[in-house]
Amino acid sequence: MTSYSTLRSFNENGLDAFKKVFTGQVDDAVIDPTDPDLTSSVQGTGSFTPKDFATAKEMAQAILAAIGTAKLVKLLPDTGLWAWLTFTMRDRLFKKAGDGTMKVGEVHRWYPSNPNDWQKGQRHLVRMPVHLLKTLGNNADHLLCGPPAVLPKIREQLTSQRDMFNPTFQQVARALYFNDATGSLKPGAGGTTGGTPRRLASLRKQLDVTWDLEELEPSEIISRLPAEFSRFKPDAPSVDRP
Amino acid sequence: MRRRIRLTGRKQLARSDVETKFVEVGGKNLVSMKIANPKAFKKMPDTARIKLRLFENKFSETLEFGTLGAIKKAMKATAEVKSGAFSAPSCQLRVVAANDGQKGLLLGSTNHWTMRTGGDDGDGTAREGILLFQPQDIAPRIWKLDIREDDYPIVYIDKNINIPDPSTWVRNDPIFVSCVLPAIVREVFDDIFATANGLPEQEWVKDWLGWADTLMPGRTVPWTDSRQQKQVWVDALLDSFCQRHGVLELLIGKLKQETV
Repeated sequence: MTSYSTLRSFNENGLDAFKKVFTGQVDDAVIDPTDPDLTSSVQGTGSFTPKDFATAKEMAQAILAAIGTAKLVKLLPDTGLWAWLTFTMRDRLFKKAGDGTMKVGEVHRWYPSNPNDWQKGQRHLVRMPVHLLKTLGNNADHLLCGPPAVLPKIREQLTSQRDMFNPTFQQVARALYFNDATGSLKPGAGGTTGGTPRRLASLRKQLDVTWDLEELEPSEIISRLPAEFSRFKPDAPSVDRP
Repeated sequence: MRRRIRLTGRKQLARSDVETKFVEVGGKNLVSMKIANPKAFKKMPDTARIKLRLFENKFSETLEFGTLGAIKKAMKATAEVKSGAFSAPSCQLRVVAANDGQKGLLLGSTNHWTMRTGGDDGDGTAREGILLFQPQDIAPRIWKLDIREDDYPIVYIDKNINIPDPSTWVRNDPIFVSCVLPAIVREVFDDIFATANGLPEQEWVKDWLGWADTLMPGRTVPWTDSRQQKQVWVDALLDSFCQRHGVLELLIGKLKQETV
């Protein structure tokens, strides 16, 4: 298992090489992630060991531990850092096709977009979990309980509007969709029918023009949700998976 | 007089109803607020709480300014910005009921606007335009466009260029106006067409379309047409923009000046 003494950031040449690897133009073996010609150490960060993290939350915890005293707000726009982390964990984040090339999917899952980009910013498989854990703590459990390689729909749906980065709103979502006993999402939380995260996202906009959600207790907000959310409410009887 | 009625009971406040200013004092970032139009708050109880929500780079923070009564009495209030994440945050004023029966009810709010952390938010042309400008550390880039969800697009200008008032500079610099602004206009409309198939709800998009209509009066926006037809529309808009602002002459003049 490779271990790095600090986090590193790709420079311009490093980012160019990173893109070439992820677009299948060159083999990943050509990049040494500690090469000083391609990367530089990020000041204030500590050691990091990429491994098979069971959940996106575990991965985010390890990266936050490595970030140490460095300020995350200053590091979020550092494209080179998030690209470097993605590169060091590439075998764990992306499957390989039969011909040995990585199945990387949509570009912003691996190449960090502008963090303020409301459509693409939340798609990055490494940066977004770290940001969510740092800003929301355990209130982000429902967004981070899956494997790091998967971008769950719930994460896209419940982080696509800027007002959603609000602990009260995410506490409500966690209470609705996360099962503390199993550490995973409740059955049906990934669906598209009534009461699912997609509906909560649109309902939040409606509630936000009538109520100041930060002023209310999560239980008060949950009590104001329409009947379609009943099956997810914390006191609802549990439903076994079919 | 036209009055907007909101069925939620929330009053639509104007951004000019308060004056806000971002200041740095002793290493702390503070926002000071004054009520500029007391009439707008006349029917709201003194116990209502005044809040300012800030958003940027998917960070949010809510500043608490105390009760309406206290602000009216002291004439102004100050709140500390704890997060160091903000350089040009989008913000919204919210007035919230604190009475037992109505606790948490939103009594009034403004649309979102961009607060400039470099100084006064109360004047300057940048905030009134459809494109905002802000110095930021973005080297090695010179400029960078940020298209946001609910607020006007913002162009960051690298602060190493050391331009005290970027909004004035970009309006007067022949090279920026002739070479960069058309590219920005294209990027903004490419984004609008990529994300909407009909008139979107966002105020900033409506304003950009209104601006396009002043350059190409009456020309229909090709919402449902092919990508190619949308490109033709954007090209026509850029032609009109360049013609209206005489960008070719502007650049030639600048280049001649430099040669001499």
